[in-house]
Parts: sequence; C-alpha cells; structure tokens
Amino acid sequence: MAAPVTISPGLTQWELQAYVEQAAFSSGADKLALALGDGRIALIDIPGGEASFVKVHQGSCLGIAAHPAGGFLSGGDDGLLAYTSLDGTVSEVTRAKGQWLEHMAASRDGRTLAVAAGREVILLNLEVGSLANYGPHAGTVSGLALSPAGGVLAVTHTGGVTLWDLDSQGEPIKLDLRGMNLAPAFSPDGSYLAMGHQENAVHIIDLESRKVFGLAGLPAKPGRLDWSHDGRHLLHTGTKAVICWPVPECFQENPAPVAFSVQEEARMSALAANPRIPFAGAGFSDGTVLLAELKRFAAYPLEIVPGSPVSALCWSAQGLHMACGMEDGRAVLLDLGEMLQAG
Amino acid sequence: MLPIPVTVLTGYLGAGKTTLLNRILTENHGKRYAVIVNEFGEVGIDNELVAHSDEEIFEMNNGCICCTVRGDLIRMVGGLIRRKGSLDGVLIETTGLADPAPVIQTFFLDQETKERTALDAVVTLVDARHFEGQLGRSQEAREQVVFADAVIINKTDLVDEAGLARALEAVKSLNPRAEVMTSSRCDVPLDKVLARRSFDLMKLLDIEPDFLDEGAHEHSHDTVQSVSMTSDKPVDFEKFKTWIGEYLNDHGQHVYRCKGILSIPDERQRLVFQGVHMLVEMGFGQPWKEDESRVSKVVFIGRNLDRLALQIAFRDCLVK
Repeated sequence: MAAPVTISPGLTQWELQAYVEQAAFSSGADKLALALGDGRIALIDIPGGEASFVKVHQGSCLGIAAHPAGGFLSGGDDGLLAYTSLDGTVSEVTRAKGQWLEHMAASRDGRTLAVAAGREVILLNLEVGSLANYGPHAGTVSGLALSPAGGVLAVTHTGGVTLWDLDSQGEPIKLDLRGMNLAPAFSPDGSYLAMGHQENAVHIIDLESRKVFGLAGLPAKPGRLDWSHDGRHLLHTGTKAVICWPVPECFQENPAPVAFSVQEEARMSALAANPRIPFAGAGFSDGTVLLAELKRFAAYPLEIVPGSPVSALCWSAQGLHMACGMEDGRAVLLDLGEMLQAG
Repeated sequence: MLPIPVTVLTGYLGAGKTTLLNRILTENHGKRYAVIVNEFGEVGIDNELVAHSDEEIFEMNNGCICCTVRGDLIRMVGGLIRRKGSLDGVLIETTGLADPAPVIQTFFLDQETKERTALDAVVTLVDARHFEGQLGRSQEAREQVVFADAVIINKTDLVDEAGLARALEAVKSLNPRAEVMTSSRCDVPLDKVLARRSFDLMKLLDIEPDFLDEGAHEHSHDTVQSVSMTSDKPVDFEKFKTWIGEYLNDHGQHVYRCKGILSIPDERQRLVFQGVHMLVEMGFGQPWKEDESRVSKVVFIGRNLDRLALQIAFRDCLVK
C-alpha cells in the first residue's frame, strides 16, 4: 500500500493512508519521517523509497523532529514525547498528561529541541540528554522558534511573544501583542522575528529597535512563516499567491511585497523555504505545490495530482530534498538535483 | 468532505454534565466522539478521547468587546479534524459558570474552524431541583438556557410533580424554542444530544408548536427576553440584510442569539440565518415544498429588547 510511485524524474509519491501532519528529514537526509494523524510515523528510505510504519501515539502524531544521533522525536495529542529509532523501536522521553504536544522547534544544529506542553515549554538538550522547563507563559503556547545560533527561544501565545535567553537564568523578555500570535520564525541572522496572527495578520519585529511591521487583511490565517535563505524576504501562508516581503525595506512607509503565481481558487496552506538556495516550496489548499524561485520571482507547479490540501512541507538541511504531505494521506518527495538534471 | 458536527454542552455546576459525558464515552453506541472538557472540571474523566482545554478566552482586535473567542477551541478543534474519518462528532463541555457566547463565536469567527466543522447544537443541562434558586443568583444559569437549542431537565427523581412543572415553566419562559427533555440520570437518548442536526433551523423552529399561532410573542425573565415574529409575506432580502446588519451593530451586545427562516420572492430555497451578538451568518437551506405555506420566522433573544421597534423594523422588510 505504501510502495513508491515515480511521478516524474525526481518526484516520488507514497500513499500513507492518514493525514500528514508534519515531515522531517534525518540529520544525514537518508531518512524522511512523516507524522500521521492516526498516531503512526512513516519512515521512508532515501533514495530507496522503502516505507515502514511505526505506531507511536494513541491519538494523532502532531509534531516530529530529527534526533542528531539518528532517529526521530515525536509529540502527540496523547501527551507523549517519544523517541523512535531508525529500526522502529519506540521509547518514552517524557509525558505531559492531558496536553497536546504539537509545537516543536529544533535548533539549526539539531542539538536543542523545544516542545510545547500547554503553557509550558520543555527544552531538551539532545546531546547531554537533559530536560528543562520554561514557563508558565501568559497563555497556551501556540508556536515556538529557536534562534539560528540557538541562544534564544521565542514562544508565541495569546497576548504576545516571550523571548528566553537560554544562556542566562534571568527573566524572559515579554513583548505584548494583542490577540493570538502563532508560528514564530527568526530571520537567518537572528535579528528579526516574524509571527503570524489569528486575525489574518503578520508581524515582523526588529529585535534590536523593537520596531514592529504589521500587515493585516490577509485572506486567511498565516499559520506558517519562513524566511528566504538569505533573510532578504519573509514568506507566509494564508495568501492567494506567493508573497515575499522585503526586509528591512518593509519597515519604511508604504512597503510593497513581491507577489507572483496567483492562485485564484486556493490559498497557501503549507510553506518551507530552502535553507541554502533561493527556492521555496508553497503548498495550496487545492493540492497545488509550487516550487518558487526567489531570485527571479517565478514559480513552477510540481506534477502532483491536485485535490487534497497540502498540510506539510519541509526541506532537508542540505536543501536537496523537499517533502510534501497532503491531508488525504499522500506524501511526495522531490529530489531537486534529479529534477533539475532531467530539465 | 463533510464537516464534523460539534455539540456544546453547558449546564450549571452539579447539573450532571460529567454523568452525561461518561455515558457518551463509555456506552456502546458504535460511534466515536471526541470530548473537550475543562481542565478544572468537577470530576476527572480519564479516556483517550478526552482532551483538556483551558478555556482560554481572548478578544478579537476588531474593537467589538463582545467578539471574544476561545483560543483553546481553535487549536483543539483544528487538531481533532485531522483524526477525521474516525470521528463522528466533537462535544465541548464548558464549566458551569462560563458564558457560552465565546464558544459559539469561535465557530463563526475562525475561518478554518468554520470551514471544517458544523456547530450542531447547544445543549444545556438543568438541575430540576436547584434551577429556580440558581436563576435568582446567577446570570450564567439564565444565559445557558437562553443560548440552548435543547435543554435537558435532569435529576427529575429528586423533585415532585409540582417542582418539575416549575422547572419546566422556568425553562420555557426563558427559551420557548428549545426542545426540552427530562431525565433522572442523564438517561436521554444520545442522538438527542449528539449530531442532532438541529442547526437545521427549519427543524429547530418547528419544535415549538405554538410558534406559528402567534404573530409575535414575548417572554421575559428579569431582563432576558425573546421576541419572535412571523409573517406569510415574503421578505425583501436586501432590506433585511441592511437592517439586521445595522441593528446588530448597534444592539448586538444585548442580543444573545438571533435566528430565523426567510421566504424570499421567487426563491426555491428558504434563506436561513443565525447570529450570536454582532455576528450573523446567512445561507440557503432546504427548498420549500410545493404545498407548503411559505412563512418567514425570526426570533431575537437578549436583554432589554425593544419589541415594538423590532416588529416595526421587521414589517418594513416585508415585500409590500
């Protein structure tokens, strides 16, 4: 049932039979893991394509991240944070009873992982194997981000964002922003923090001057934000096109975004920028997946059968592979090198 | 994709919500329902289909103080949707003291929640013995009944006939349109609670048999009242839309709920609407049957409603 099907050169599809929540590549990009709505994790070999499944959670598997030593950490709505090794052995890392472990954020080097549990954040040092608690926050945690250098943890919640300096024991910095904030994303140099907002808005905070650029009136809630690899543009979901806000120009008067590849009938539901080259994947609610080129501002649709909303997108750290997950349970892997070679 | 039906269960402390929830979770009914309960609920329920909420309420930024929503529900309903296919419904329990409006408003105001779910019914449990006393003390106890699509008068074994009649009368006077059931240990059929499809307004409004007999009637309890209006003349939709928008803008804070069915000229289907405070939703419902008399019905429930002004305004919306 989960045999790989080659759609076109560099594009492979699997049927995983459950809502794809999130995707993550192993540190060496030789495995792809997908968190599924029925509590399973799908492990896919790269490049072999062989898929295996491990039942990890009682309800849904909500979040997944790679462990630097191999294997994956996953959170579920059963409150379990589990480690699944590459041979499929599951072990409990910690359990937060009654909480949904949905939001996870890993540092760039993969050594630190933050996991939200209600109003608290559990911070794991994966090298040492230690756990620490941060919180409680003003509201239930709705998003997490670790700064690229790994020293700052950003936590969004109702009423604002809390910034923890992980190298000191002091009180966190709290920035007030009314309403429910979500999906924080640090710029690659760590000087800006962008967040989505429940009421169809995006905010970008200049962390040095504390100036805030606010953009309201989007067609839908921006639940995923990401920065181009060079930090020149912020992208976000909830739009009917690929929208790139130039930073820091957006802090001046009348900022104008670069918008391209308008989708009349759909809105962007998933997004992931390539960490190394000016590319981004943009998934839409009608199943369209665009490969957006952020230098020429043009996008090409991948040859995927449309229909089901795109729910997950993710690039490998090396930027050579992109994984897409769909609500109807399909997963697609793009091998960028192979696709470009085939023209 | 069919939207998942969502039931909101309210009721004053001690009315029997936990008993009902345990029935839903443990009874062999062949359905799979997820239940969202408050973290600080009276009795802990341990079941894998239970999720704990923190009743996190926040105001939307649009400046309207009554547009509060429940952040926890946006997150949790969003999560439950992913289990789709294996879920037949979601039930949300609110604490005995919580105002049900933010719960309902969440289903109106959050786009994703609205697209994927259908608010099925607000069901309120009432303690037959203590309801009268609670009404005197608590605005919440009144509001819970006012918001309800169905009311279960529970613990009837603890009152005599006269006591039950008084509780029934108190419920009816607050909310004449709600379907009222009685039970002793929440032993009502579960299909009366879950997936009732009672937001099909046709069904909802027709539950009240005397509804059609009167041109308009009014019930009041302290300041909470309901105003119902009917007409066999069709409604000028543009006029109605303009009026109800302006009316709710000005008075929405006092209007707990409004709902109705409109007969629009030359339209096969009934136009249905429902609102909470300043928010209102409209759409086309079932088609009129050929031999059916096309009657427009609207009802407003709230505090200090000006019945005469409402009647005049509604009459002005009728096609002359």
